[in-house]
Amino acid sequence: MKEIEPFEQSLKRYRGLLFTVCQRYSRRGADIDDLLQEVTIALWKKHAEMESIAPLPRQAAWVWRLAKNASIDYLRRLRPTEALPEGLEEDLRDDDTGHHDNLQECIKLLDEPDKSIVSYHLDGYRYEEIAAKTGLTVSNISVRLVRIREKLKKIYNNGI
Amino acid sequence: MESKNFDSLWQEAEVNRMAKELVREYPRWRRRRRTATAVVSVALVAVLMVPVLLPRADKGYDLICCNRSGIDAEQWPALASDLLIESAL
Amino acid sequence: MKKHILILLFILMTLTAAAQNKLYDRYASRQDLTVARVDGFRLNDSTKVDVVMLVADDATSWQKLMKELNVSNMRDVTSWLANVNNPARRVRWTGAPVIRVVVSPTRRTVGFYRLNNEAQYDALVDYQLNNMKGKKK
Repeated sequence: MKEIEPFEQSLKRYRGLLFTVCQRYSRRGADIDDLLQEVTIALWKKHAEMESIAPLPRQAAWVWRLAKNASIDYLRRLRPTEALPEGLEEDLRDDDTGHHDNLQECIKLLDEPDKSIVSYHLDGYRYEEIAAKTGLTVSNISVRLVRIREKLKKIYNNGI
Repeated sequence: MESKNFDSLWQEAEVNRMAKELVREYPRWRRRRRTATAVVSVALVAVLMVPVLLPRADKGYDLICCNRSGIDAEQWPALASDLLIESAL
Repeated sequence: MKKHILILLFILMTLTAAAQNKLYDRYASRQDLTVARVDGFRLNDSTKVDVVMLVADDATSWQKLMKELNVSNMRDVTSWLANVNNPARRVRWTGAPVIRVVVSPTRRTVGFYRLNNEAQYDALVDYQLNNMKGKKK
């Protein structure tokens, strides 16, 4: 979990660079939202490697190349969406292990305003925006999120 | 190791969250960038137009061009003057 | 952003670059003539004119030029008003843009002075009058 904070810092540092790369490739038909998603995940997967590169200009060049390659890979994979084979959709719906594998399922079990707070948070809203939407303060949001995470962990582990 | 599984799940959710945050920030960034481009462009135009707009030291002409090189440019205004004067005599 | 700035620079260059001068362009590629243009030749404090001058390399090119301008056997400096696009076609002053053509056989030079308005026309005449006083024939 300690990796998340440095990664978030890196993402903030290279945000403009990622926007520039994705903007360029979005002109070739890809949706920029999807590209940003792909590039973020690609960067997360190689975060440890990125952290080992110094100095910063070299690191920036590395990030640029990674973002470019991730965008190209994504463009190559763009194919018309295919319908699932008949019957498979129903099978998936019926599958219930009795264990909350899905984080979203756990979130549904929370009370308000916790449910809203964590949903907004995971949707990418900043603390200030969540505070505005919920009427709570920013520091309140920050503290609640820590507690919400613990609650979710219990729900997830205990199947409650 | 359910605790570890949850941590990984949460980490994934956080990474997705960061990606979504980027997506939401993108329009703001693009707007700021367009404003910055506009400001830089205007500044560039202003800087480049200064020599054009400011009054310059009076040389008696604005510009001299010649289809051959190596000729003293100053002779042309003098020639233009001489031709005018001679045609009036 | 880089692309936008480059486009802007290109537009600026074309704007700030010398305005097109058709007479200059017409003669500039001639191998037998030295062609010069003086933009903004100052006639007085407030009036300038654009001038194009052609200098023939030798007698042959001079004869050729004279033929193009529809003149022949000229010994002294001669001047006339002409159509802006056709120096050989003589016109009267009516207020419309003209060129003052000045031909100097001794220098093997022709000067074209672009007069767009009455102010330039008057200023050119005044220039001649003011400067010729000390140079009587």
